[in-house]
Amino acid sequence: MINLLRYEIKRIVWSKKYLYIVLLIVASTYDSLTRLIIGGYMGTAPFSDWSYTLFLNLISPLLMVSMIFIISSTFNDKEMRARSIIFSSPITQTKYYILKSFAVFVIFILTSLVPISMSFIYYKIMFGYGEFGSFIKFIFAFLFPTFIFLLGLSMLLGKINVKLIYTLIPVVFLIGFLNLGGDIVPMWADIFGNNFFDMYSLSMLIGREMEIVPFKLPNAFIYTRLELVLLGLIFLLYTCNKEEKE
Amino acid sequence: MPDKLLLIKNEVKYMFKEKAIILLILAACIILSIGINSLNMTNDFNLFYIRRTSSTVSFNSAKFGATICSLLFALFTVINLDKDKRKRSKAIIESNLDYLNIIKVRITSIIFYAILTTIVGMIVVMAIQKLIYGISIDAFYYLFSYFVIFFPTLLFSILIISGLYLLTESLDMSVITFIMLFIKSLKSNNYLLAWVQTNLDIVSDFAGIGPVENTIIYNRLLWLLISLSIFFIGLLFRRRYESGIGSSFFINIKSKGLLALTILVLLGSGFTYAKEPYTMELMSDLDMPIDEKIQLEGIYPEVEFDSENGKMNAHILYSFINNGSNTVKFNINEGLKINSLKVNGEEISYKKIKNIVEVPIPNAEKVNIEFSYDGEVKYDKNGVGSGMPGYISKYSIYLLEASNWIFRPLVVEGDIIDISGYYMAPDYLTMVVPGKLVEVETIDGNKKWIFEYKSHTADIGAFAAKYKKVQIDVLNMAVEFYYTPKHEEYVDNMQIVEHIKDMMEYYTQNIGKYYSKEYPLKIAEVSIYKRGGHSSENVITFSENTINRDNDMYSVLGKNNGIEDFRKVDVYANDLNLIAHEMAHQWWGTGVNVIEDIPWSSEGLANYFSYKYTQKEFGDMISSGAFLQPWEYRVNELKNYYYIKNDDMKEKLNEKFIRSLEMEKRKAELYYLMPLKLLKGEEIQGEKAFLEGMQKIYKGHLLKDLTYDEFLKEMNLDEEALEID
Repeated sequence: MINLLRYEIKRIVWSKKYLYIVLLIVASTYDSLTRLIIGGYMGTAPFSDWSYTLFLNLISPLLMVSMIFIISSTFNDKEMRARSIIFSSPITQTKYYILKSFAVFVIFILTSLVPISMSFIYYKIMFGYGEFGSFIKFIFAFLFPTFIFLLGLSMLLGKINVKLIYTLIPVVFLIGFLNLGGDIVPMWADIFGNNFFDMYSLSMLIGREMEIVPFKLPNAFIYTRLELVLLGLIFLLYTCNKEEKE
Repeated sequence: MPDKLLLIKNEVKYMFKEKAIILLILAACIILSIGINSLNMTNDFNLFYIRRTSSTVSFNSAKFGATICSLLFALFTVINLDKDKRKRSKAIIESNLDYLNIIKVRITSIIFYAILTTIVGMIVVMAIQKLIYGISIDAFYYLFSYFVIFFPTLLFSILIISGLYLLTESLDMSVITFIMLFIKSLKSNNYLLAWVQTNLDIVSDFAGIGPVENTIIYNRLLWLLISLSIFFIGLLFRRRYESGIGSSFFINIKSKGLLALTILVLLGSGFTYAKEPYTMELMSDLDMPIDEKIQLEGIYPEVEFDSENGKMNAHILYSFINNGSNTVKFNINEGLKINSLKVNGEEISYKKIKNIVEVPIPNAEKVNIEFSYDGEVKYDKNGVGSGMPGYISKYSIYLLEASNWIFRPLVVEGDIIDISGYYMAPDYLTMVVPGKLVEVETIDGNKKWIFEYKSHTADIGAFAAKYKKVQIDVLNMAVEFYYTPKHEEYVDNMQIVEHIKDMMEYYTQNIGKYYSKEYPLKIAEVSIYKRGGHSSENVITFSENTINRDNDMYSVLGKNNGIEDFRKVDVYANDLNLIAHEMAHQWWGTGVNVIEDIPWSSEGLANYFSYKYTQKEFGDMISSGAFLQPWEYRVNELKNYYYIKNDDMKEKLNEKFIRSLEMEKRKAELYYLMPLKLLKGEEIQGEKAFLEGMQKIYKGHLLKDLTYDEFLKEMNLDEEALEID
């Protein structure tokens, strides 16, 4: 199983498509850091928790759309044809989807490491800042739940019909990119957490009386993130166990 | 029927049977309908409750729809192009047909559906406007919004994604690259790059699309060339049967027509971008060194406006007192071409570096410089659509001094500058001239508006539109209120004229008499293309959103003029405050020349008095929530800005960012910190005593300068006492 996983990851990572995606993410990260993050979010330091969360929100739509594309390859015609051969081997359908999902999860971590390490290098070189520990909770709170939810949803939709994954792409991108404000998108539907971030930062940073305003994630927000993770896992479980039509 | 047309017909039929396109058209109609109210979904508080008209309904829906539908159409296109590859049928088709024809047919069919979506979407929105809102249809705005904004966006999306797909032969890579271009468009301030929805916030009901139409059409032209370039490059790299990208390119390049077209559109894109004719980088006054050895004494402008063609022709005479200078520098507008330049009556050559003209002058005490120039006023590069300090269009002329439409001499200004001359414009326009209107002559379908003025500054504006003029007499003062008859209903229902009267009375009672009996106060509505207000000498302007709100706003003044809806009251209070602020400048700025010494300036005084007026009208809760609290917040916030607290870190930033940060800080100090200081002074001395002190100062410094030190001394205040914690 480990060998299969290793092979699956290698297959994705050593493709031209993945290289291209990484190059675009590098370009987009560079642009975000040098053009937007350098100024700091709402006057906070460029390396503040607030600015870093903004950075995560900026890279997130592209990162997630890239991952959905990678997931979509699980359901393309080539893969579907190969599947009848795969299922004639000892591997079960459940194991097959777990393998695929886990491979995408590892790819997600590897891909996320590109902008994250770029940001760390940028902070160190530009500002001599190296206390990256505080960013980890934001990476976990903003990137992971979104990814797990979308992984589960994409797998589920892909299993129904691959065209549904393509429909999901503009929807995900627009939700991540357009900031619609807290009145329009309820917190439970705020997949990227960007609307929460917008409203929360406005309430905390406007009229602040200190230079460093601590960014404490409210419990309500954490619960919604956990809900997203849970939903993603339920979708995945359903995908893994639902019998496939012959 | 020729083969190609038959193929297109079949493809259109085939796509229709697939049903995805029906869903796409349906989704587009829903998105366009949601877009009607998209202005109220933004954070742009100033544009809330804007009156629904054909222009706003069609433009908002088209702009909102273009953003989402461009993505949907791009995806639909790329899925269609990728179809044969996915189904592994490409090789079979290629062995029977030229695959290029298939690509062309598919793209043409999608463009056909984009046109159909545009027409259907437009009809749906028109029906909503007519049947639900009961607003009559103006077809021109619909055609403009849907065929200049919405459809071109879809067309560009289709061409760009097709080109990217042909280039990469990968659905994923082409979509992700497309998304990057999409983000760039939405995040850019440069109007040239805003291909998705253009960078216009709203279409002006006051001025129409005239002032911005050229820039929008230019943007569309540029992106047609860019999208064609991407598409043709894609065709050059289109994969041939069993060939890689390199060998395919060498086969494709043999098509001389395609190669020539690609080069042509590429050069065209580059040329169109580089030679953009409508904007320039306007330099702010703060960046300009002033020559202290020469003083401006008079300006005599004779200007003819050709509003139909957006042009002007000017002859301007400047008179100076020279105390030992060899040159005079002028800050000019690059769109205006100098035809002749005379110094003391003699033609002279000059140096021009970008938008600065350096004129050599003789070593004489009196120097007269005469310019003749003509052309089109260029806009500020980053302000197209919302911050245009100058434009000339068929139904509206708006020229602030900041646009340098009258070349600005970079010299010291005399205490009193003699200004006289005329503006000539088509007779259907009413001109608002500075100072006193002496006479209006009608000459061959034009009107000549002759004016004269003794001014403190060389700030000369020109404003014209099809105005309705209302003469308001308050306490023997003359106020002229100019607004478009289109907004008359709102002006009447929201008691705008009564408020102007109240403001005049309030300022007269609490500050002193209006500074002049000779020069009436002129208040003019202007277009939304320059947001906010402006005051120069005896003319003040405010943007149309102030008096162009929806009928819903009438609920603000309930049956007994009581307050019913707080959100709307906030909008209303802000609108009135804008007028009150600009009017207060007639006392502080025009009446008393307040010498800027940050945070001290006329802005702080104007904001303090407009706040006092709003407090009187709306009570403590509204005025404090709408003004006082945001001021305190902004001042506190800026004090804690990272780059303000850590000045040495500014070196990490680029010059543009540093400048914008400094402007933000300056604005907060002038507009928010200073009125807070004045309120603190009021708190120390008591309102009555403080206002009496202000009245004394106004009286004592009328038509004179007022420094911060003089103010503090005469008010018996000191800097420390006014310190804000």
